[in-house]
Amino acid sequence: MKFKFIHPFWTHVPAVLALLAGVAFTVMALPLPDPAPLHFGLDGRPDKFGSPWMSTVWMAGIAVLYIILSVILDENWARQEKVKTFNWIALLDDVTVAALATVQITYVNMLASSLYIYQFPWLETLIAVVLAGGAAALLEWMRPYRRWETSFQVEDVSQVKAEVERMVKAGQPLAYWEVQSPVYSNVLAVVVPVLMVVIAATAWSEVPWLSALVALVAIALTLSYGGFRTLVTRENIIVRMGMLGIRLLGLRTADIAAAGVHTFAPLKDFGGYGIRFNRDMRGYFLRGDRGVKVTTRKGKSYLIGSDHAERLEAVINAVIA
Amino acid sequence: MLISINEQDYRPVYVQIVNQVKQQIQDGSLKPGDELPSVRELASSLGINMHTVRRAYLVLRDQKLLVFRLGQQARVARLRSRPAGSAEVAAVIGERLQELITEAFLLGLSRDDFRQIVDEQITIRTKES
Repeated sequence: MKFKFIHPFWTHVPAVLALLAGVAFTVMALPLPDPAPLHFGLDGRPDKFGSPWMSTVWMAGIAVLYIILSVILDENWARQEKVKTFNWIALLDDVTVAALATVQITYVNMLASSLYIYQFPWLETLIAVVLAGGAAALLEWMRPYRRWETSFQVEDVSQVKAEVERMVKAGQPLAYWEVQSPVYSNVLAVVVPVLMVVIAATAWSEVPWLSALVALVAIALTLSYGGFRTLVTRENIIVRMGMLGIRLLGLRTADIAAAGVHTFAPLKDFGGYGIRFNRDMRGYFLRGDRGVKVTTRKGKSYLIGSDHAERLEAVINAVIA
Repeated sequence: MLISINEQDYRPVYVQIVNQVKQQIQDGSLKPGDELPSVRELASSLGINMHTVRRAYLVLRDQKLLVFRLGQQARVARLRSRPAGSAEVAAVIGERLQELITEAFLLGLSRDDFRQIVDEQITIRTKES
């Protein structure tokens, strides 16, 4: 099937304009002094020099990353909408890129003046953020609603259910196991820590305590490699995470009052994927929009994401019966 | 993946695990690349010895149905693109087939009756998967 975006690209126009403004202002200010001040102390005086293109490349790179991230998030949001809802995440790239572009423009302006004292442009940044954010909010409000027809095959689990019920009746020990380990989460568990370690190594001589902290966080992120695993036995339901199998959720089947297949909107209902909370329940999911909602006798609810929601529900209901 | 141990079954526990994993690969419940629980986790969930689960996994690995990679859980291997060689077929199913033929003979089944039963079972299994 051909991939088709249902969220319009024109909602990202403020971010793209801000990026173009930042780049255009830099090009118009050519030639830039080389070496140029790159880092400034609290008094606004430069304490590090280097290529004048460094800030432009970083600004443009981060801006492009934010725009791509925003396109992905907005598309996901639009696909999960049952009715038109205001998507606050849509403002993410516009506000961030406007702030970045303002800092870049004032930086280039400072370079052109040859007076190497830079005070952070709080007021200008605030104005740019309010303007870009306002324009983005207006575009988001104007955005048409397009319904995304989701289709999933409801699995016939009558056989599995009958089999598990027979096993439970016979008093046989059983273990049901499934995994959610999407490629994106494993890439994040490798690429992000590598980048963090590179940054930590670069900054080690200047801020060793912060570098050590970043390296520790990088190691912790690496441990998330492997995604979420759900294990159902006659006695327990356990959700574990990552290569060390850190236990995220452990429920005794005797404490469970009900379990049912639950369809949800990850971004709208939980603000993303992973270990998530909302008013009604705690969720553990890395992909998809279906899972099993388990409610305990104390009234607490947990959502376990699943690629085979009907099968997981059948097994849980058989063991709690 | 669903594994259960039947204590009434005359077959050893590791054979029960091997058979259930094979059946789930055959019916498509387990797909190539799917991860299996660790030896320790499956053993503690089923209340059996770790060596029993390890033995089952090793049998499945030797039959090229599971792959173990360093630092990773056991995974279901890619399905064969070509049928196994005659030596492997003889090693894996030859002896059991011989037992089945003997049982069928002792039950008084003719060659055609036995063929018909095998055909019916193949049809059922193929439909399920």
